[in-house]
Amino acid sequence: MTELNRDFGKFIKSCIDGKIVEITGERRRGLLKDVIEYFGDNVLFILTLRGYERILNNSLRNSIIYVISERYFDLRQNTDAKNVVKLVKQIVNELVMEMKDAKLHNVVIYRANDLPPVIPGSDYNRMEEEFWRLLTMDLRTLEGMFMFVYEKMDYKPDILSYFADNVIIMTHPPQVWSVLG
Amino acid sequence: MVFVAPFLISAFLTYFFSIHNILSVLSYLVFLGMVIGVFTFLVFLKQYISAMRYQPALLSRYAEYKIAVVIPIYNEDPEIVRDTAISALLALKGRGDVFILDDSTSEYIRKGIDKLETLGVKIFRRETRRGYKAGTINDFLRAYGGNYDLIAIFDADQRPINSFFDEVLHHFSDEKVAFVQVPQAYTELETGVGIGAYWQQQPFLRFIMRGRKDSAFSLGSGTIFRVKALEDVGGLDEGNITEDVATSVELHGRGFKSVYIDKPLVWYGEPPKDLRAYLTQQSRWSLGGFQLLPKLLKENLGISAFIDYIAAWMYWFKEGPLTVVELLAPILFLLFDIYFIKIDAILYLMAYTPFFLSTLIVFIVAARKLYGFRGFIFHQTIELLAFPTITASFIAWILRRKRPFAVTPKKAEKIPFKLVLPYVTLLVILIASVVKGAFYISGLNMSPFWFAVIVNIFWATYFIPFITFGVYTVFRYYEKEAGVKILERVYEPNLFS
Repeated sequence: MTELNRDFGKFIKSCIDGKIVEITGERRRGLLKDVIEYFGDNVLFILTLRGYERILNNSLRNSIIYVISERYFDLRQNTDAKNVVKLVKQIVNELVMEMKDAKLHNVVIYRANDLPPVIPGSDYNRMEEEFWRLLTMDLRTLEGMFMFVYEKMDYKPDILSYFADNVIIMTHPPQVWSVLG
Repeated sequence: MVFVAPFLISAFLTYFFSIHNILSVLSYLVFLGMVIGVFTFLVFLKQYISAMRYQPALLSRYAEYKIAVVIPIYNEDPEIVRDTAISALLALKGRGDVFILDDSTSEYIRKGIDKLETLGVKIFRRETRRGYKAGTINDFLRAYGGNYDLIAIFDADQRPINSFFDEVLHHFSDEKVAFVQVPQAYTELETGVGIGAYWQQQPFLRFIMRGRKDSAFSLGSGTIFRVKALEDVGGLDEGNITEDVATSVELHGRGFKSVYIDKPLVWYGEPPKDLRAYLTQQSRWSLGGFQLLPKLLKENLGISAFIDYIAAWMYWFKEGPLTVVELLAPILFLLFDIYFIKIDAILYLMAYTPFFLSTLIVFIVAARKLYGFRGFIFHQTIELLAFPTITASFIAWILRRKRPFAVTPKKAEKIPFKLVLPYVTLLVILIASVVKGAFYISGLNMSPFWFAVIVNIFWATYFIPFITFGVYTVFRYYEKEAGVKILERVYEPNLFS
């Protein structure tokens, strides 16, 4: 099953023609498990949620796992509009270094929801849009494919999808896929 | 050469600006104080600039390591140890084991510690106290080191937060990293001395340690060592009373790297709470600092690391023996009419300005974001109070006298007045010097000698408020909330953004 899923994941990847890919679904329907099975092979897997590292480490053999440090979340909540660029540049710089070190070109980030800055009292959607605009612009200049796993939220718009080259909608059961170019 | 330079420059200045008699030694030491002041200030600037670029990583590579957490204790309150052990167990998250390295001699304490086994911690005891803290860790390594990749050391009162290891382990993916250090925490700020010790730590932890790129050293607690690296240098150095720094020097000398993570990863820690405890701590640290010199000159350190370490040695030298000279000089001049420097007073002022400015710039730079006027006064005061014990350590080091390893007492005790008496005496002498100096200048015309008296009155006066505040601080107790308020406002991980 796992091998089949991986092959199917490879097939899906071959259909993707862009660098920025959004994978969207619901966690309670096994989103993380599906992402691991379909896209977890031979990637740099970045987690924003602590506590999943061990599960991932046991499931992924050819991938390297990274966790976004608490420092990022401090900055994310204490930044202002001017410093969004700084935040993006720093994360991209570190990503480039780690990709070079690990010699891996495909990056999976779980969950994309936790990346944009959260500034109380500001226009959250506008801030998020600016963040994704800057980040995807920078990532497009790099070698590799960046897959952002985004958990669907009923109460807020999926802004990342405006900037993604491809969107994969993970439905359950997982054989139902939709790839939007 | 870097080490010798301040001594040579001071000798040169003494030759030209000293009255050539037995008191030349004094003028040499006065000049040495100035030159070393400038040297340590320049090193501080280097570290400050480097600290401005300090940027903790946002991505941490996940890796699994087997870790032994060790809590070395000597007759410490089992309740304090229990809470630290529980914090360590929670932080480990199944990555290894917690060991209490119990060197206690009190049967009552040993029984209390035995009860902690029910928590799931292991107790390691030995027959002797050879090598004190370093010795017990080395004995532990010999017995169990092979079973673990890393060894994390925590003092009995330094408690790691739950995500402690999540935040530090990824640094070990670089095979050259021998150890990772996190800042120690002083959270129980209930006394004036405790608060002073806290403020004293701030520039060190926020600027100096952040800025020591190739030479961040182990602080003895909150350190995670790679077991293999420690084995490479034969374990912790038992020959130095501050084994943590000595071992760091050896590791850096062998080409290993260290990482300092300036994050509040320790949630509880007790400062020295009274003067006796503070002096005990400073006595140990300074003696260890002095003992380090031969190792610094012997080890194959890079130039930047060497300068950082030698500046630390000079810091102790300046805060101990040279402070004695700085206090003595105006007293001898004003009270006893003993003159030993024949420098023009204006020139003297110009020469002293860099030293004085260095203190001022440290204040201006650090005060804005770090501690403000109150913190600065506490810092300078508590530092000044340590000069007798640092000088005693220097003499002990020169005479090669052994001083036993003493754990910093954790509980505040009533301070006997005789411990404060030397400071009060000094205060009286300084005030008398200033009063006599004031009489002098009232009867003098403006001349080079008049300027010399003014300079000496200035220095005698400079120390008076600090010593006065120091004596007040020693007897000052605070409500617990006062300490909490200080902690709320000071921890600022992103000082330079």
